[in-house]
Amino acid sequence: MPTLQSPEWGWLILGAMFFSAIAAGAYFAYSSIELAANPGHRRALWYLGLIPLPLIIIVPILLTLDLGQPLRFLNLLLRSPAAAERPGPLMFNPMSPLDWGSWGLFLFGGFALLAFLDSATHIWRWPFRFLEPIAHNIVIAIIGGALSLLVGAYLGVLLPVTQQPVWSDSLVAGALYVTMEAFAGMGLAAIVASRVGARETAEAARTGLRYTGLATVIVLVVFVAQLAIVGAAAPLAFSLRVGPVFWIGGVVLGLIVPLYLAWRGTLDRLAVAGWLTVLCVLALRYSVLFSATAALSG
Amino acid sequence: MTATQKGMFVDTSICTGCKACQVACKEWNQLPMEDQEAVHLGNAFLADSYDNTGHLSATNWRHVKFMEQFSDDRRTQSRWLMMSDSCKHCVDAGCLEVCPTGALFRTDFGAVDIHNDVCIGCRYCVGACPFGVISFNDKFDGTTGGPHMVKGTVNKCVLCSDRVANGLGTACAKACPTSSITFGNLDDLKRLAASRIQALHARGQTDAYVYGWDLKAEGYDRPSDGAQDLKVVGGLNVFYLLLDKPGIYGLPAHDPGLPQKNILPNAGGALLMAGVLGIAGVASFRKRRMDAAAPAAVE
Repeated sequence: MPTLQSPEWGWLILGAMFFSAIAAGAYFAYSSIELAANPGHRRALWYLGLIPLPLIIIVPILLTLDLGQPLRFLNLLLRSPAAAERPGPLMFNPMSPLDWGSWGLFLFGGFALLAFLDSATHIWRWPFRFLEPIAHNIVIAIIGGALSLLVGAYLGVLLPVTQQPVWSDSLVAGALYVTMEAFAGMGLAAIVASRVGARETAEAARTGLRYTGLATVIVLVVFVAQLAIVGAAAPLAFSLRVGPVFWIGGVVLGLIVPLYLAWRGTLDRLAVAGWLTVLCVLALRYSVLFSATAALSG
Repeated sequence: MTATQKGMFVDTSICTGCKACQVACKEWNQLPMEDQEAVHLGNAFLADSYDNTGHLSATNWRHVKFMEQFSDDRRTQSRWLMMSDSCKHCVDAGCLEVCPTGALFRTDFGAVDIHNDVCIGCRYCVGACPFGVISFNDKFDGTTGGPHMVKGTVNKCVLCSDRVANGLGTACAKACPTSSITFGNLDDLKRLAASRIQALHARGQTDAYVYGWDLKAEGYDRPSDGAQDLKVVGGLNVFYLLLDKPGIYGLPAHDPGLPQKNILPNAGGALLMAGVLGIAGVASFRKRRMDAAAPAAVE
């Protein structure tokens, strides 16, 4: 193997990956309900709307703490006068997925805030009823939903755009990250539906869990098979640091059990499936992130 | 490439491993010792062959690699390969392309330089370098490590941009006692490399080749037989004459290309799945599913 250096992205980056997926997943379910325009899901919608904002606030905090120069984080969005020449005052390098993600997170934060304020207005009677026409606008739901998918996917595109083993060998990590996010989103919808006793929403979330769970299984199989074909799957599947988390946390507990519960389990068990989808996101993102370190350390 | 493009040609066939280049680099750029605690403990050196730094780092911008090739009995056959390694200032530089803040930039001479006062220390460039060159400095600031050190940012060889801008060559090339490292215009260096390949092949050393450019394809006169040149990442402004396979020197055996080659499949796949999942998500919550379900019990 050629001499490579690791960027040493560790637990802070894993935390950012995890919370961004959960926040974006919750908004994905929220916007799906919004676009489905089914008033029967209103109650669950409001509670789902409370989730993305607090979690997405954590993400830039974790990412900033991981920087060597945290106080310069604005250089990601605003072009520093000393930076390489680019037009305009804003910083955006289209060839860097990190810039796509920074702008995606920033813009998504606005949609998460809108959803939060609308939900708080309905649940806690906050004085933001004037936002209702905007919050429930179909264009807002489409753009917000698309941004949630961008936030869920960008780290899956960022990792392969390196020269690190495993990451750079993958062609479908972006697809895997976005399916994980959607799966967790449906899991969160199931948890919320169970909490607020919305059986209609729980039934719909069960259907969503089946769809997104199947998609995750298919993409995960393609992901591992493609890595195996190029001879890069071993650190992910068999290394001591990653293998057990991948198989036990990601595949068995995170994917197979919740899919079984979504197909065979009662609605009462659906919340368990929901929590396991959250575990799935954590375990699979851990596995992908640390597989490169496992490969470099031999 | 124009004539103003500067670079270095490193001829490993005449490198003696004296490390004058390492010392000159440290001295000119006022780079600190790698691990001062280890110095106090008396174990700063690796004791691994004659290699005393092991790898490039934020404070070692040049590193002389020693590759020992001995037969099992360590008597009948033996060879030392030495290579003075540094940033290659790639034409297609992955580090520069992924930088999200514009901290990495291309100088007028074709080198890849760093604005340490713009760098945020995200370390994306570290992962994007196919040669393991660019490194994160989490120890030294300007007072403890010299003028180039800004704690929490990345560092690497900047092709002595301050010297080159004033008409001087690089410090390492200036100090090299065997002219193994030559600084100059890129076109002149390629011509020199072609003549060295010709001379070595004529002497029977047909395993000599250029790593960084394909001189034959560039129109330079070099023998067609023996080891073939290898062009990587669009060409290297600091390129090498090697005597063994690239992997022996810790270099990629094939052109790694820009990391951006992976954007299209990964982003395309994500986009496709996003569309499918978006439809699936909305379909899950549509009214007709409610009609089939049991009546709402609690809502």
